Amino acid sequence: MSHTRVGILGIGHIGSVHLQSACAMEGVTVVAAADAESTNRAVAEELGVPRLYEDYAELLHHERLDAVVIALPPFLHEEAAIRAAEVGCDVFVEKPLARSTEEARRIIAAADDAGVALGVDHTLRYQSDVRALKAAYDDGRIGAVPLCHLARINSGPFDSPPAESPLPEWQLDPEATGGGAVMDLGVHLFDLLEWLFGDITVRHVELERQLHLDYEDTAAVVLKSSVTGTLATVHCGFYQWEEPPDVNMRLRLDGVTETIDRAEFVPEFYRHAGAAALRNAGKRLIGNDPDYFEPTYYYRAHFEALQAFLDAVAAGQDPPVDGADGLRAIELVEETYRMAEHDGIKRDQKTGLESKALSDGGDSR
Amino acid sequence: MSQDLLDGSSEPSVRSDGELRSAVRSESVDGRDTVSIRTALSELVSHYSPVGSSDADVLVVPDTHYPYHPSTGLVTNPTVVHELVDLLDGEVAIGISGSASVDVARVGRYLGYERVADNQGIELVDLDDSANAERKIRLVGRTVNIEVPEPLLDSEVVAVPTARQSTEYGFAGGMITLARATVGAPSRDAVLATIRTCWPALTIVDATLTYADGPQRTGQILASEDIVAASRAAAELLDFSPEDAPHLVPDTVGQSAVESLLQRTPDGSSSDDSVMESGYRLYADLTGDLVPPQMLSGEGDE
Repeated sequence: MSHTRVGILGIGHIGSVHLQSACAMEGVTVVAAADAESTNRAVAEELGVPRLYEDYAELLHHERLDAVVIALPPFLHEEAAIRAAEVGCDVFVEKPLARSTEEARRIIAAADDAGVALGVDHTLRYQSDVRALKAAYDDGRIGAVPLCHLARINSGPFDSPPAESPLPEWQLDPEATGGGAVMDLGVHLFDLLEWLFGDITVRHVELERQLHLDYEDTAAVVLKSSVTGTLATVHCGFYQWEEPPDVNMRLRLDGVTETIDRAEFVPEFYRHAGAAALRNAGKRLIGNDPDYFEPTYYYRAHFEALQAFLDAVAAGQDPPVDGADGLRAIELVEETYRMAEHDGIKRDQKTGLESKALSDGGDSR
Repeated sequence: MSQDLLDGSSEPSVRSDGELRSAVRSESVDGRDTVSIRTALSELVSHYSPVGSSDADVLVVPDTHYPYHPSTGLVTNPTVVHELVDLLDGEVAIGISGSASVDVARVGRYLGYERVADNQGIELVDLDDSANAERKIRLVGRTVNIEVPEPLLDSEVVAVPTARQSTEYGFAGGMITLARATVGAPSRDAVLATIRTCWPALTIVDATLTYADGPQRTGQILASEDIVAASRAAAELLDFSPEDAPHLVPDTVGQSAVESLLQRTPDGSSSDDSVMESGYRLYADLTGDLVPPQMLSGEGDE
């Protein structure tokens, strides 16, 4: 049986999820991993990855690989993806595909020229609750959907109290990330809207900053599907303390017959985790593999996204979420920023800290 | 309306108006209304004049340990600082410090202090990047070495902490804010030594929004010339007792004396000191007094 030789570029938070996932997949061998941080490389070493590199370029130069997973910061996506494509690797990139549509197009062109597959980890498509909601919608259960609401609000790069880890620098630099909450979180939600309804356009944008940052940490966007006529309101933000497994993510479809909400399909975490753990323990007892990351449904989604990409590539099929999907999501992000500029809402506008209701983050205009 | 809260426990000292320096005044305030904040601060600043008088260098030191949103009460509200520096006379600057989690330049920028300083035409002093002066401070039964940023020694300091619960200190409301400028995570001794070294001319506790098991709109601004009294008053405002925060509890002379004695004779055996020297050391431990030079190194007379 041939094995897919995989390299993992970036072993941070999500990179380590991909690393563990790939190590557990049948028919996949992680032959090398790279990360600039020695503590991250130590994680890969513990998992038995045979060769480790500080510089991903060295990994690509020295290793003979079939595919790479790119879980590096966004400012490294373009260079890493193009280098990987040029040495003949299929490429699976964490979202956002790139910091801009220009970078994304160059990645897509490089993959096309090299004849390799390009996939993007738009994870929410693989989350069990989102899939269940989409299935209900696709089944026609709620009829047409004139209105829907999506939101993803977390703490961004900040800690909730007590703050114990160093505040990262690159995550607060729009040059490194490509933008703020809209680029990091909105990109997920815009991809979902395209997936659910198709042909989305941005209609109205409001961007705010709760702290004096170099990008927006608060956004409200109105979008419309020209296919279904659905109007969507999207909220994304970096300002709210988050304690996993409780995550502030909302997805609600207000159909003509009823409303369905993602919350209906989200497993009660501790009950689900306990049941999943018992099931997996039972599986191991009889010599079967567990359902990886099953107790944590959001990490399970990353496993399934990578599995789907590698399975498609092995079968000679197009990846289910490909470069065009990644590009489309970034186009909507850029359209959001362009519309904000056009409406005079500059990204360096005064924050709520300077208005008369400063301490409650009141109206900044 | 001003209201005396309590008399602090520092050494007796009386202002020219007869009020104890350790008294704590408070003003009720609507933290959502800048006019209300300014009115309250104006009352307090004029009461405590001549702090911030026209010929003084004044350093305002807010709580900036992490870029939490000010509405959480975990950091000083920049609006309070903005209005305060506007009310103070003299050469006013704002002194900020970061923490192990975030450098001073970024925390100052994210919390808006660069903009406050620009708007007010004043200097923003990075205390973490300032030159330090070494100080040796005698506490009860021990000596503590600290390094203090020189701006804290060269200016009239106005501490402007928030009032918040702290996982590390139990409660933080003034003394911790100043001590963090000397050591990022100060021990109790470092806190006490810092206060002894750069006792602020005035402490204004921003209790407009506070934090205790979550944000609260407490709606008060406290002020005192006694930072310890102000810190304790802020703790009591949030239903903390001084015992919740060791730095708010005065050294018990007997306890430190016993600890000091045990360090010298841990196994209970006789020291090499004569009976008189042992007795003198015990007296010094109990009272905090100093010992004659010949007893410092344990060597004989020179």
